[in-house]
Amino acid sequence: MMNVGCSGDTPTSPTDTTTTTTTTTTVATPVYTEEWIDTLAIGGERFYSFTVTQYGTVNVSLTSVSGQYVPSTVILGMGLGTPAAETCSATSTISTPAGSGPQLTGTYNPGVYCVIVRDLGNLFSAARFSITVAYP
Amino acid sequence: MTVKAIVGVALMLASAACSEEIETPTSATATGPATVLFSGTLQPRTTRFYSFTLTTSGTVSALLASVERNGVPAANLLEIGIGSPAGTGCAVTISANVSASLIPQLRYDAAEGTYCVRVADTEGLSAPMTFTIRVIHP
Repeated sequence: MMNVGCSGDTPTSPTDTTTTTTTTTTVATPVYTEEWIDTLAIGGERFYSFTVTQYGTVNVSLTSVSGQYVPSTVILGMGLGTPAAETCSATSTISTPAGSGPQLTGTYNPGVYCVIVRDLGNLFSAARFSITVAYP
Repeated sequence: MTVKAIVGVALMLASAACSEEIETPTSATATGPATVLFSGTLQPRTTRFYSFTLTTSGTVSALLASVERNGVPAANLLEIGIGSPAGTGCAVTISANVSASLIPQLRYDAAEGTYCVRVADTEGLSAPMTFTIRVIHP
């Protein structure tokens, strides 16, 4: 038995079609900078909230610590997170002295975030501190 | 066959019969509103605030549930407000001077995100007061 009816057709080789979709997410650099100057009591903590308007990099720098009986190299706790209840729930923390920084950095979606600073038990008197927050 | 054996076999059969009737429970997700109670002591001419997060959009309502001095209900007016955490405080979008009530005194239509409720003494309290604010949100 021969396949006469189909003999005239020229078979074609199947071709593979690959569709590649590439989504590029741009990480914005900080465009806003806020300087937070405040006083930290012995054993205390303070926090500061800010709003990120586009997905991008947030940098937090503890730039200075001063005060009577407060060495400028004293180590404080610092964290970055979201406001929750009466505090700032930190998702990223560090123990650090003041410096040019940033000591904390991360990439965040739009939303409200906060930076918290706390005495780790190293203060013998209230400390004046300065923190710079840069965000997109 | 002893009585104990008969009872044992009967229990086994009953158990087997019941086991075929067990249905797999379906999961249920509660979608009702959440209630937050924010209580504390308010010093004269000060403010306090409390942050909360909405995972879905909807109406946020707040009421000053109680104001007391030394455990005795007081009729003092306090300012309550709803807004967003900003800086070291809560930047309120809506606010009202109210006394304690059991009905919502503020309503705010909000998208997903982080918000705060603030209580402030704007009248000049003569002494610290304890307060409770009830926030109901989606």
